[in-house]
Amino acid sequence: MTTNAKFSRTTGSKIVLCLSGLLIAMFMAGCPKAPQKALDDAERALLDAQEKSDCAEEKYRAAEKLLEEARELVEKKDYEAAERKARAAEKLALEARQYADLTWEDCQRRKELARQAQNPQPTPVDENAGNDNELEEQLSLSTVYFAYDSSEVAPESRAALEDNIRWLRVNKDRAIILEGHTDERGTAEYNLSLGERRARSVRQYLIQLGIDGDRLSILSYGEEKPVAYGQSDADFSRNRRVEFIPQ
Amino acid sequence: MMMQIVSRTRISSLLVAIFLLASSVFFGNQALAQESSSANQTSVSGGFTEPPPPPPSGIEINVRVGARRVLVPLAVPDTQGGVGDASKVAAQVQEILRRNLDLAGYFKVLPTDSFFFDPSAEGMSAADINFQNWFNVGAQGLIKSSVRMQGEQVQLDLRLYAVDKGQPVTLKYAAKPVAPSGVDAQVNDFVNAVIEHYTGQRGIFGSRIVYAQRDSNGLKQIYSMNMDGTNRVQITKNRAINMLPSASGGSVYYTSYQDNNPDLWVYRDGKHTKLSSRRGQNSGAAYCDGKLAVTLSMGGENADIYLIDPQDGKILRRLTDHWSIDTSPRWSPDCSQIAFVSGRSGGPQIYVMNADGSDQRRLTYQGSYNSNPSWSPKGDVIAFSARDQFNHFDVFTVDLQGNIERLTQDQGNNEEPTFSPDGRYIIFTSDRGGRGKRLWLMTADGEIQKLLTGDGSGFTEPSWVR
Repeated sequence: MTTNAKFSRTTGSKIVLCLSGLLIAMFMAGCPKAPQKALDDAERALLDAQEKSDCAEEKYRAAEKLLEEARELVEKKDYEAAERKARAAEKLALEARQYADLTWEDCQRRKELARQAQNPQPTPVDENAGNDNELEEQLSLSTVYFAYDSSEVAPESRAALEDNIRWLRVNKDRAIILEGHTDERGTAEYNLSLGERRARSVRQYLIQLGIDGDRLSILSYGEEKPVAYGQSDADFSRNRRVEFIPQ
Repeated sequence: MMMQIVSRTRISSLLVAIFLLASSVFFGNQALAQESSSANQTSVSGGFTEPPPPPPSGIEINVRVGARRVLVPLAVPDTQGGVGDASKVAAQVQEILRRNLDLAGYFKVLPTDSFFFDPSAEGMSAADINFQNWFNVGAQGLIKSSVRMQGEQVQLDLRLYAVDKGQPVTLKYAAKPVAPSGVDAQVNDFVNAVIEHYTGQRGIFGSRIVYAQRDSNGLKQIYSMNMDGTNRVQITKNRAINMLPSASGGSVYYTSYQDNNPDLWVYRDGKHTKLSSRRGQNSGAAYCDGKLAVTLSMGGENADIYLIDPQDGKILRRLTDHWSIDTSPRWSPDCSQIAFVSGRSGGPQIYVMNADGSDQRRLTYQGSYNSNPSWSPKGDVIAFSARDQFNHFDVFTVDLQGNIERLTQDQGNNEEPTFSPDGRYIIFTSDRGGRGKRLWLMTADGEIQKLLTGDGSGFTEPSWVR
């Protein structure tokens, strides 16, 4: 089993390496701009791997880190290096996914044992529950947070958005209301507009990543629906958010 | 119930003095020169003659050092009412008299425990009054009041005497029998006449404001009340968030989520109807001369200012078209211009445009968060709230040349100013005192500030009824 896994991983990585090398060569011929395709490919590969990432944790984290570094390089306008990093991230993410697929059963068994070790009275496993159901239960919609006075999707929010994109891809028939909120500082009416801008920029972000805009409506409550009622910075930052409300 | 804020001017002038001293040490003569010119007349120039200073994190202007207004000392002994219903009405009358003369900002209502004699033994007419006694307690004016029941009707007798002359003052006020529910209106009419006698301009007690109040379920309802904080009437009674009310010509406009979108509703002739329910924001309606200025985001695209028909909500004209937020339109008194808030320079700032949307220009250049404009009835200044350099919100005014004056300082967060129709007062929200947001009334120069809602909290978005 293990030998098999290693074997197919190396073959796979060789192919990917060749392909990405080709793409780099093609790209270098053009004029310098952000390697959007490479970044998108890497992002997609990561999203693909994410649902099984806990069975290939190391590789997945490494791929995540590479993509982050690639994005930093884009900020610095070092597009060549960014492209290389993005491709490496994509490759690692693909490997992570393959590795997780191959070791899935082993991995689940190990995790179950670990769960049982933590819980002396294990709940009986429902034999009828398939993997799909279990998967769906794991998926959830996360809230996206914003900086003060800002409606920009911050890099820190992308992880939460990736969770939500997974949910949207699994639950293909469901529509979502993106509910924009602000903290209580400032004017109620201006905050109404600011909450709407936040919801709108999340919507645009999701559409860019391939989610159908018809499934995404927006609604702003401004400062009217806080989740934290205190006046500390921590309370304020918990209130600056866009919630995903499934319909 | 009415907690007078210990003259803010006294405290803040001390603070300003300290600030002056400090700034003269740190910044040398320039700061001093600037400050002395502000003490001399009005304000620190913020706009057009000088290039705007590098943007600080918040507005940096202090309350100006002004001469304190001289208050006319008034004696308001207990209202005489006998027994039963009359005594209840008498208690009501004396409460309104004392509270509103105090709120007016022109009088010092003398404490009753300073009366060293028994005023209840004294009659209503000049012949029965010992003016020397009233002179000795420091009164310049004396208000005598009594209540008599005539069946179901109440007969009020309210009189103002000039203590130095020992004579009654003739006021533009006529008493007639009223139902008990009309008592406060008649007392306010008398108070307004007293204000007119001393200032030459009639008072406006009895005028009303609308506001929104948050309840414990996280919902918000629209209310109206007298400018003195009494006679509260709940206008919306639904299970939703209702906000941003304004009222004009018998109509109350407000934004409500009762149909899960911030729609614009109107309450008129006892009925609530939806006026604008375009997807996204429909808010902040301001009425002037048959036109309603509102903020619409048209499907969540972007908040801009439009004119709509106050009857059917049809769009008459789009006034702003900018990718940033444009909101909070407020009319000039002659309906020829509109002040509004725009984020087009980064943070929210106060702008002005003509009523057709032309000639949009920025008024505030100091601070990074200026919002909530309210145009003074004289048209000379616009009140607004701004975040200062310590991240507190305070109330300021800006004139049409961009000169800024500060009205509140060092007292929590003060926001959402709304001018009275006579231009004498500003009602605003403040969280001073640490009991949440409450409504306060101040004189338009900021010198006298008094709490209106001593009970409860969560009072927001006051707007004077026009």
